Amino acid sequence: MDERSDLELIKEFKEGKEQAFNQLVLRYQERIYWVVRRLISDHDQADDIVQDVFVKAYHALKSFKGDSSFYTWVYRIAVNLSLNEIRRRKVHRTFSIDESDFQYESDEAHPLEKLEKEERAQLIKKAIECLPEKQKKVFVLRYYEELPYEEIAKILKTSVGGLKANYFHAVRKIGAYLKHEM
Amino acid sequence: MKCETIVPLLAEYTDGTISAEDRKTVEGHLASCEQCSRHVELIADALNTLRSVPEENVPENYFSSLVPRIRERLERRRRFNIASIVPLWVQEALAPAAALAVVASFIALFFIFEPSADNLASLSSIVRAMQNEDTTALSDYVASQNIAQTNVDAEEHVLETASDPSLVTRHFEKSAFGGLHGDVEDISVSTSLISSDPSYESLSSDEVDQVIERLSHLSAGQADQTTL
Repeated sequence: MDERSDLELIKEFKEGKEQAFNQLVLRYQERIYWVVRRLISDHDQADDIVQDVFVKAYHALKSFKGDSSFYTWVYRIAVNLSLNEIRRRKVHRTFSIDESDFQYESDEAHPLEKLEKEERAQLIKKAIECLPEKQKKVFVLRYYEELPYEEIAKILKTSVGGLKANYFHAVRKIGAYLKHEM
Repeated sequence: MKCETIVPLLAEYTDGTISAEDRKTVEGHLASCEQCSRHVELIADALNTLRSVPEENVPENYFSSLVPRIRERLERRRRFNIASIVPLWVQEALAPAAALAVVASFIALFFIFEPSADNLASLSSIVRAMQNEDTTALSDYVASQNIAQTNVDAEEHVLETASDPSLVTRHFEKSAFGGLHGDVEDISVSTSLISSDPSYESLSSDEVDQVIERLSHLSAGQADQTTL
């Protein structure tokens, strides 16, 4: 495990040590992947966006001033690129859920129980996709990433009070959707 | 307390991060507000459902292969990105020269084509019309100039008199660029196309010479008529 701080790695990268950037990617790739995947749903598209996030970070890192933490900064890139993709999808009317996206750990659950879980997962995905953009990103960062509201506020550049209200309404809407559909 | 005021606290209440003091406030409100109670119940159910669904999978070795793939993408983009090859100070130094070159090109084009006062008036009216999203002005302008049509007619006439009609079609396919631009230079392009077009192998060299000569003759005549 590399013990250098993010700022140390960024400093080394700015001095020309390319390896330092690899370390930053390794440190945040999983978290960034899951944020994007929650927002985008599809693995292949998420993979494409994750690569773009780090490519963008690579080029912008040279001018990174350290006003916010690296991970807040890179999360912001990830959320913005994911939302761009969602908007692009809406424009092209390709908003669909692919059955093949759902691959679960093989377990010993009864086939009917498994099917029920998969159906529930599908419904949750649909419910999340139906959320307004702002509520969607707040929900993903709060529920799945378990980030504190203060951190989400830095990433999304918004107030904590507003975020809490957004999160509340997001979960309420997901609940209403599930109740209606189940 | 009003429902709108309690909402941020309800978020913390439902995810268990609320302070003891705020919890009392929320529970006091819930005891007297049926609507908020229903919301909290709904949220609790939603969170239970969310927790009951297993994590989705990621392909095996996905994360171990991500860094090399990001590096590959960076390299691919670097190859197509001149900005990453030319140092920033060179780019900055050349920027004013590039801007000057663009301006000089426009001035040169202006003198080369020597636009008439009428055309300038037409062009400015088009610009104004296009700013108002009136696209018909552009097509009207093209039609009024009649340049492309003049050129196509000239070539068609020469080709029809020189050979069989099927060559006309084939030639037009090849010389669409020259025909559409319709200036004297394009006629020369068309002339060289004719001599290199394999479909003209069936013509005798005299016939080819005749076609080229007539095209050149026409282009000289057209130079007087064509004003851009």
